[in-house]
Amino acid sequence: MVDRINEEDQILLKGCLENDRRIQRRLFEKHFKKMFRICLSYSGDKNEAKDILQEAFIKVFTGLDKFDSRGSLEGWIRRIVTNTAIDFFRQRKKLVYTSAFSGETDEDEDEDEHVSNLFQELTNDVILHYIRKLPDGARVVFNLFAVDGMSHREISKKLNISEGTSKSQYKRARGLLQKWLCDYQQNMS
Amino acid sequence: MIGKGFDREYLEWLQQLDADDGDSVWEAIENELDLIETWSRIDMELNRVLPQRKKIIPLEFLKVAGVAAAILLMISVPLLFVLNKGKISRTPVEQVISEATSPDSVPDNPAAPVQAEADRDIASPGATNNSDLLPYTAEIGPDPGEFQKNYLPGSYHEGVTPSRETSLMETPADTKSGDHPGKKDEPAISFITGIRADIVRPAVKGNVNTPGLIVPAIETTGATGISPARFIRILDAGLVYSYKNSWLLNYETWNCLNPTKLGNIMPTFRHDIGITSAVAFKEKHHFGLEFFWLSGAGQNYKQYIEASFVDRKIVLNYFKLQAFYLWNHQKIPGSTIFGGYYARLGMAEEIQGGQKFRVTDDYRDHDYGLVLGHQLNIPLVNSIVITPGIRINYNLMNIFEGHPGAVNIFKSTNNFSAGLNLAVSYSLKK
Repeated sequence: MVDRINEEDQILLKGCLENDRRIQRRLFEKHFKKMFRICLSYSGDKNEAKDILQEAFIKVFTGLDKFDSRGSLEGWIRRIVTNTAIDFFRQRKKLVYTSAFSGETDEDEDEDEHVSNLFQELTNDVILHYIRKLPDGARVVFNLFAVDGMSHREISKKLNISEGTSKSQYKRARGLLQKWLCDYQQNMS
Repeated sequence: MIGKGFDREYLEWLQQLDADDGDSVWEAIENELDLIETWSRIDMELNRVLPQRKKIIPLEFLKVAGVAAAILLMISVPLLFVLNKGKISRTPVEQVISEATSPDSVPDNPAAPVQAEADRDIASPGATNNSDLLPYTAEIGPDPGEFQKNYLPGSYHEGVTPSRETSLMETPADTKSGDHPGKKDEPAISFITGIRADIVRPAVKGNVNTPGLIVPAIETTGATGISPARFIRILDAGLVYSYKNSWLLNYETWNCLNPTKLGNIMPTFRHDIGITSAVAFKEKHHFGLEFFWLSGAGQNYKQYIEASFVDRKIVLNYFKLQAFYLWNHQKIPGSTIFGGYYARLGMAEEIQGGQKFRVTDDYRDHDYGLVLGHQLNIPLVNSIVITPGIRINYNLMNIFEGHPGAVNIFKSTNNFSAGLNLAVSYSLKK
């Protein structure tokens, strides 16, 4: 296996393993933005996202000795952040899996090209805003499926829900997002 | 698969978002997340689950040693004065008398009787207060070089009574100048035979009664009057400027001195601008007072953030009041100073990548510490004296206040500076 950890990460890793608070802070500063974005994509509320981020980084620092240095440090941190976000919702039982709203379609292949344009045309702020606006349950499932590449079976196990619920929540999230983004674009034009 | 294109586009958008650091969305994200606050909470939790081992760093030792040295100095110097009071309180004339009246000294100077006679002849009737001294003072008279060597060592004399000393150095020019009305009958030349006016004149020019002067401490006062020493007297007043190397000493800066760590401490220079004055207590002990309306402190450094070094600068501006004792060593030109300071924070800001952030609330309003240094007083023209010197300041308290959840490594921050000092003062006439 190729050694993927670079020199900078090695220094950070060594310092963090020595419990050097300054280096730990460096590691946090290096990754906090991306990881916070992930937290925000799982939780629409910024205070919740902060809590998730904080909890995730404590897990990172306390569990760094378990990190396999052959992999990517960022990827490892990302996984911890994602798992922490899922745990957060599972423990607090906040996820409410609401049913799909009327007019939401399952077969929307034709929409994809249009959506492709949407992502290119709309600003990041707007897209992030609508992602955060999604219902918690739908947003979490959507992220796990679309971003983390989990199957509905894996999602169902992680979230203690049925596979059907996972699929329906994913479709709901995607449908809402498409609708909101299209509406926004139409309003703008 | 349903929605496959949508997922792909979404994923691509997210990846582009991750790669695009300069996008305003990052700023928005950063604004929503208070880095310091979040890290503080992480740090607190880490302190609970992964407590750091306390390092014994030399800095701690230096602090204790500094305080101990200061206390030792403050005790030892007055003691030194008390123990040597007999010696240092005497004027050169008194020393001459003392030496001359010593039974051992008379036989050593075979020219004494002759010289004494000569001096009696030129002695002023007005100097009757000193008439008893004449035979003795005359004994060392013939050798002006010896006098200079013994009594004008080139630095200010503690305990010198200027009026007496001056009476020995008075010249016709002085008596004519009207400086001392009512003393017209003063001797035209010094009754210490052989001392030429031009030897002491350059030193007499202007008021040189400033501590630490590298010229003899002689001033033009009444020829015979032995004026009682005033309890307190302002010696000079002027402007002072200091250019100094400043350090904020904490865990962060200490570790940045280690090249293997990610971060660099940069040389940091700040300056102080203010007013200065020196006062004499009973003409024996001299103190300096300085007030700086701008006293800079802080630290420049580079911090490794997001895979690149970012310039960071902490700027702290204080109002500072500094008081110190001026210790004039007989052999070393100038004055060694030691004392303390009190400072009040005026402004604190952090500059990061060109952006300024007000951080006044993160630092304590008050600060105090020690000042050590050495300075020379060089007369420039008439009453103007320039005083170059070196100063070291070290504060004795943690200047970082932060908030209850502040990161532990910043919780203990001390202030240290070392630099060059330059004062331009006007010496006040007695």
